[in-house]
Amino acid sequence: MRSREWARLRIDEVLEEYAARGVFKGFSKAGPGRWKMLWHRNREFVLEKLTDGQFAMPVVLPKVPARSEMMRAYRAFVKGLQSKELPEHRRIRVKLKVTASAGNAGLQVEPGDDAEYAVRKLIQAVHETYLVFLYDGARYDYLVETFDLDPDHLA
Amino acid sequence: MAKAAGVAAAGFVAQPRSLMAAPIPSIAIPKEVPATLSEPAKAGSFEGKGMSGAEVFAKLCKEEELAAMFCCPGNYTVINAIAAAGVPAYGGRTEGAMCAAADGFSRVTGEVTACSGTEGPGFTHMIMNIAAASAARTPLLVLASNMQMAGDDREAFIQTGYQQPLTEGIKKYGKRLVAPNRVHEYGAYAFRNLKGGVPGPVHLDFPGEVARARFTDAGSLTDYYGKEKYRSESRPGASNKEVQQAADLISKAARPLLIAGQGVFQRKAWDALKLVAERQDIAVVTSGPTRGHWPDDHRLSAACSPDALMSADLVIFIGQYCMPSPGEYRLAPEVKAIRVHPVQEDLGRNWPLDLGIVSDEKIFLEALANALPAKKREAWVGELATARAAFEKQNLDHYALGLKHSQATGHLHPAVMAKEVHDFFYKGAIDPKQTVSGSGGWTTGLFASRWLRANRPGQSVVCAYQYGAIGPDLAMMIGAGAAVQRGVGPQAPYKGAPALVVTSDAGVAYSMFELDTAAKYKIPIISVIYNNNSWGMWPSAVSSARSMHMYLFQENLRYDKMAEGLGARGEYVRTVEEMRGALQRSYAAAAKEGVSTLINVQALKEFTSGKDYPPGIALNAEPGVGAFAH
Ligand SMILES: Cc1ncc(C[n+]2csc(CCOP(=O)(O)OP(=O)(O)O)c2C)c(N)n1
Ligand SMILES: [Mg+2]
Repeated sequence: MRSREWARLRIDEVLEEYAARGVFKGFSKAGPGRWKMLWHRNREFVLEKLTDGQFAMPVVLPKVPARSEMMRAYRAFVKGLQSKELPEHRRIRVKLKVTASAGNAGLQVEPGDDAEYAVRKLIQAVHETYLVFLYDGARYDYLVETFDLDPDHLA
Repeated sequence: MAKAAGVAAAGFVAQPRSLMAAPIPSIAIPKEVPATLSEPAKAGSFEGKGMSGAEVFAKLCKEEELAAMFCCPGNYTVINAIAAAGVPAYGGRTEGAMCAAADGFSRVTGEVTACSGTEGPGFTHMIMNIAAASAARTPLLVLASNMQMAGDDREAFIQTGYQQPLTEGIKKYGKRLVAPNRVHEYGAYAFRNLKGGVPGPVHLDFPGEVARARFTDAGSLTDYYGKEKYRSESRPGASNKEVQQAADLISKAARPLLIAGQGVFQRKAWDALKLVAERQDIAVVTSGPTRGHWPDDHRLSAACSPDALMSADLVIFIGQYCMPSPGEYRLAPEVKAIRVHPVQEDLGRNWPLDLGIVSDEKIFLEALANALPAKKREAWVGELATARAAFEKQNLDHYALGLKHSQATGHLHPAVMAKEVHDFFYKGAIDPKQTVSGSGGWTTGLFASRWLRANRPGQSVVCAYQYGAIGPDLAMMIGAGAAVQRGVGPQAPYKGAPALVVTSDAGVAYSMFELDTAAKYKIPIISVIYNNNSWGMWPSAVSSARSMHMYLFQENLRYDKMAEGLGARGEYVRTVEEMRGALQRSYAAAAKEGVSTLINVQALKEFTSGKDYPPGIALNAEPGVGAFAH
């Protein structure tokens, strides 16, 4: 089992690495156990470490009502990322779940015995949310309504 | 029937002669068109009256093998000189469309082409398509002149204006020629920029004082020597160490993906690319304004395997002239990146690199092919195939839904239109490598590009590449069609074949008059127009008051009839059976008689809506068949 201190420092480094890869357009540490990144659709995302040790991103997709068809579809999508049918290198093998709070869809992950892996997989899930889930025709209206998407304002 | 005809005939005879309308003459190509096209070239010479500045420049263009010029009259001295010098020349209906045609010719050949218009209005009409060519890094020579410096600042008569500031930001190089005796020197500047490094539009404007100056010997012309002296064919090459570093990273990767950008096409490096990719089972996807330098039907192609893109652990960009940022490509957040590019300044822009290499694409690929140990990656190849099957299944599912909607509404769904085009050109009697195609429009382009294929270099054009202009498509593909008629470069094996464009009702308005140009020059094109009575982003107006009217056209417009008025054929289609028949007749007319057709596919704007007509419009993954941004 790795030390808590080691894990904390390592998460900072891991997230900085994504910033250095250009995945996040901007990145800063916003306090203990709290990180901010400028990311998809030029929006700010916040990642937090909860008191129970879980990592959470409460707003992955804004304005998705808890009982909506979209929320159901999103839960299924995230479950699909953990499917045994995926090739090993694509499969997320960690407890990752969709949260619904304040009208937004978020993600939460249990660190298990490898916090770094858990955080990396959460980042991957957000990335796939924006680059795969939202590309489905069923999400087009959401993109228009939520992000002002039009053909001249795609990314 | 016979009786009715007889009655009509009797009525006709009864008309007083003076009221009888003369029969309406048919549309005809003036005899001067074929006559002047077949005249021998006549370059200027220093003898007698000597050469004009325009002729000096035209001679240089001919020696540089300028592949074609598309223009509207204006800038007469220059276009006449270039046509006379023997450069294939085409005169069309609008300068903007001619600029797009020149771009299209270049996109399917990699060659330098030119466009021209009159100084003020003709030039400014070209702006949208110069910008599109700039975004696509097309080696396009933009010419526009006629006025004299003597009229500068006086608003003497008409059309004076400063051109160069208007192409700021959309050219690689530009110059107003001021000293007549430097006309050859600046021609050399133009071709150094067009043929070296990363290409892009070069904009030269010739005031009358330069174009009409006369030279009776070479003595007063500066730098009057040949291209072997004024430019070099030398290209940057990667060092052995860099090639080895790249080979090591690739060999270590489990699932490498090679993104073959337009530099691979420009440098005709597809054979070297094949050696590299097949040596180690590297997945390949093309990017850029032209597709096909890696065939879609190759087992290593990732163009139709969007689900596999995210699995790549190393991406190798080669000749990707217009770089995306990481969130714009469907690649994993942890993917490592190598980029090979001919100029150093661009390495590291937008996409942080693990290894950046300055090199000509062809030199690098040839060196890499020698440095890479052979390796099989069966799992990776299997994953590509699974993803391809999933993509094809999704397309077929969309087709099935579209078919249902088509039957229910009596209007053709875009998925049905696109698949029927696909089956006709790639699954039937026609060689799937033959037909050069391009697509545009919003809903139209998103559906069409999922089904259009590029199975050999220069087979497909991404008309909206990067600039996202609605409208140039038809003209661009007429230009591409001209290259096919001439069998230029990679089009040689398919010389004379018809071209295909699938575009939208909004788009066709910008280019349709060029069907006249296509007819005049016998460039057969089958243009499939998805007519949904609207600018396809009408959903943006749904929740805004007093706005929707701005997004809509009259319903049921007959683009097919307009095409007939321009000397092309027209077809009107609402069902799958009608679509199949229309494609067959259009292709026969194109292949046998060199006649173009516009197929008006009548649809409903509501097909865009995923709620009412699933699947609605899905965005396409980049890179891949549906990519148009990068
Ligand atoms: C010249 C130009 N004008 C406007 C736009 C903005 N725009 C992007 S897509 C689009 C709608 C295009 O409608 P259409 O091509 O008919 O597509 P479809 O109806 O098939 O969705 C518009 C207006 C543009 N990109 N280019
Ligand atoms: Mg439309």
